[in-house]
Amino acid sequence: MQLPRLELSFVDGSSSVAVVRFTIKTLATVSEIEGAATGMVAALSALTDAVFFQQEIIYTAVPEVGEIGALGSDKFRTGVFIFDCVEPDTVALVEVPAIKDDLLVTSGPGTGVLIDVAHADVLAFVDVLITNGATNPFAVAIDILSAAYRQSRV
Amino acid sequence: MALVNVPTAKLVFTYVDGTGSRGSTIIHVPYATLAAAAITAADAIAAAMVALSDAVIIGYTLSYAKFENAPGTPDPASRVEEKGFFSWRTANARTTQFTIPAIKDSLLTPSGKIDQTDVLVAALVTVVTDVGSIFAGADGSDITGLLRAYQRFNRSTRQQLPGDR
Repeated sequence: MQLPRLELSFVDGSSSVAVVRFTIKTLATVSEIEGAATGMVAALSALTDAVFFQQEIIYTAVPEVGEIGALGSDKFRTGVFIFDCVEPDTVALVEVPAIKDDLLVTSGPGTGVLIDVAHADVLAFVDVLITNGATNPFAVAIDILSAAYRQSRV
Repeated sequence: MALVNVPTAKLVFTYVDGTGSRGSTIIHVPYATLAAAAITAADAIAAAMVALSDAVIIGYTLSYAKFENAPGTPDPASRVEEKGFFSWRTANARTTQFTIPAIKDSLLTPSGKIDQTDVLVAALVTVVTDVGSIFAGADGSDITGLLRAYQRFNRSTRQQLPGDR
């Protein structure tokens, strides 16, 4: 895990945007960084004719060694997972690049396109999303998997 | 005028396939999720997703964003390409930098140096360097003082050029 970053965005009179980036010296909590950001925004705003409008706190994890995907794997062969969320008429979408061919159904009209939702790895994936509180972008929790298929995303 | 958070924190997992091309998966968790909990979740989700993909996950970011719901109006003549460049000393005898866009002209000396005796600059130095400050150089070293500060201009990008030129 790398040190977190705080990014503060400013907009000028021509609507151009610039970002000021800071490294945070420890794996501080979001609330600790937000507290420090308040003072920093005030100090920066006094020095600039642009206007502050957005802050983002970013934690980044990287592997210790470089890796590359399996030979022949193709990020455009995307696994599309559509979930029903816990509130009526709300859905969530999760895409997994380079979906494995052995997850696709091998018989019936969806052969080679539909993802086998009974596959153990798919069940584990769905379970880990729900268990860990994954939501759609509006913070409505994922409930059940409603559709899964392979799609070419070029 | 207040900072409001978006509904969710965002996890973006980056993959690389056999050709070296990169793809991504975006997962949302509620904004109130503590970073430590979200990181634990991310590790579990990554492990489950790797089993579904022929590509490998080469990292992820977890981001929490807030927006000003009623931002002020910038000075019409302000331009982000006009930077205030601030270089800082760090505790391990290195330096770290950041730039402030659209630096106020009133802070500049005739040579383009930023007046380090100005009370506004002094306030910035306090925020960056005070004991308890959490800001650091890229390697995590404490920032101990302002080394130099001056006006600098960045080249305008195509997007920053006037739309009606």
